[in-house]
Amino acid sequence: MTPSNISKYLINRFFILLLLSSTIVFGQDKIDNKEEAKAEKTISPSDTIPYKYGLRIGIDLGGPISMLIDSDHKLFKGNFDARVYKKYFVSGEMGYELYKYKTENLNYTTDGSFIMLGGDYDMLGYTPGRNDLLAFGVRYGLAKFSQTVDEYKIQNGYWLDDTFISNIEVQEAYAHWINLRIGLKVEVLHNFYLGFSGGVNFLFLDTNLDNFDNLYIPGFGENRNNKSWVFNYTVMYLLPFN
Amino acid sequence: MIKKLSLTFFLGIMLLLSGCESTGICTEPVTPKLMIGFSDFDNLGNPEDIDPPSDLKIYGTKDGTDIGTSNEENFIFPGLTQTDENKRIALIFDVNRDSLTYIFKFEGDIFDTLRINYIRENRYINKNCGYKTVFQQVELDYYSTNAIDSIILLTENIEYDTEQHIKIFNK
Repeated sequence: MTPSNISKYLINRFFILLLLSSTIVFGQDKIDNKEEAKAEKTISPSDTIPYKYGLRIGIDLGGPISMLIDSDHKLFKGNFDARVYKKYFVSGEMGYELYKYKTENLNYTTDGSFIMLGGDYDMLGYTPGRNDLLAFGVRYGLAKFSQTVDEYKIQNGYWLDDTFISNIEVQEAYAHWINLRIGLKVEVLHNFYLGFSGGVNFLFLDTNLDNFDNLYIPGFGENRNNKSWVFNYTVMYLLPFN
Repeated sequence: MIKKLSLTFFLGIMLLLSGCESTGICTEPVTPKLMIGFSDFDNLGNPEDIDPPSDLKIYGTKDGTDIGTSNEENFIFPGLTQTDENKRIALIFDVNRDSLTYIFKFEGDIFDTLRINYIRENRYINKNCGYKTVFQQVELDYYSTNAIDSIILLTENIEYDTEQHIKIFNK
C-alpha cells in the first residue's frame, strides 16, 4: 500500500465507524453488518466507474447576505471538501464572525474565529464525471473568541435615578461542538458548484465566563440550551485531480 | 442501508430538537424588593404578623438619603403602601446606592426614618432577564422611634423577595 492508499483506507474506516455509531442508536447494527457483507461480495456498478477526485473550495454566501440585513453582524466563511474514497469526502470550513446583540437591558459583542473539520457521506449515488452530492455530514467545531458585555441595565423604577448601568470587560473563551448536517452540492457551470446545507450543532464544552454566558459563539451561532441550527449557502470551485 | 439509516438518524434528531425555542420573556426572579412585616410589640413572645397600620404611607426622598424629614416636598410620590397576601409591604431597593432610606408616615402625621446599608452585587440571570442586583451584608444603619418601637433584621443576604427581610414592631 502506498501512503496515500493507507490514508484513504484509514479515513474510510473512520467514516464507517462514524456511520455505524449512528446505526447502533437504532439497535440495527447486526442487520447492517450482514447487508454490508453481502454488498462486499457483489460488485456494484459504481465500482467500475472512475470517480472524479479533486479539491473543492468555496465561500459562504450567507455571511455577506446577513451583513446587508444587519451591519452589526459580520460573517466570513470559507469551506472545502475532497473525495477521499468513493462516496466519502473530507470536508470542513473556517471563518470569522462578529456578532452584536442589542436590547433595552443587555448589549454584548461576540468576536472570534472558528474551524470545523469532518466528513461527508454521499447518499445521492455517483453520476459519472460529476461531483454532485447529497451528503450526510459530521463535523467537529472549535471556536476561539471574546465575549464583551458592552452594557447592561438594571431598572428598578421608583427612585429618581432608578437605572443602574455597567459593563463587563472582554473575556476570552473557547467552545467545542459537534455538527450534523445534510447538504446538497450541484455543479451549475463547469467545475462551479452551488451548495446548500442545513444542520444542527451540539455544544459539548465551552469556557465558563465570569457573570455571563456564551449566548452566541462564532461558527456555532445562537446558543440555545447548548444547541443551534445552521444553514449554509455556498458557491464552490473544483480543482480536479484526475 | 447506511444511506437510509443516516437519513433516519438525522431526521430523528431534527424532530427531537424542534419545539424547544426560547420565548424571549423573562420568567426568572429579578432584583428583589425589601419585604417588611409588622408585629405587635405587646405580643413580643409570639410575633405574629399583623396588618400594617392603617394610613401608613412610605416615601423615598428625592435626595435618597434624607433622615428625619417630614417635609413632603422632599418626598418622591406616590408613597408605597401596597401589601401582599402575607401582610407584607414591598419596598423598592435603590440599585445605585449602598444604602436604602425610607420615611414612614403614620396616622396623625408621625414620621419615622429607616435606613439599611448593604453591599450590592450585580448577577447575570439569562439572556431574557439580563442582570439583577442582590444585596449582601445587609445591616440596620438607623431608625427613629416616634411610632416605631423596634426593628429586627431577619436576614443578611437578600436575593429573593419570597421571604420577609425586616420586621417592624410598633408602639
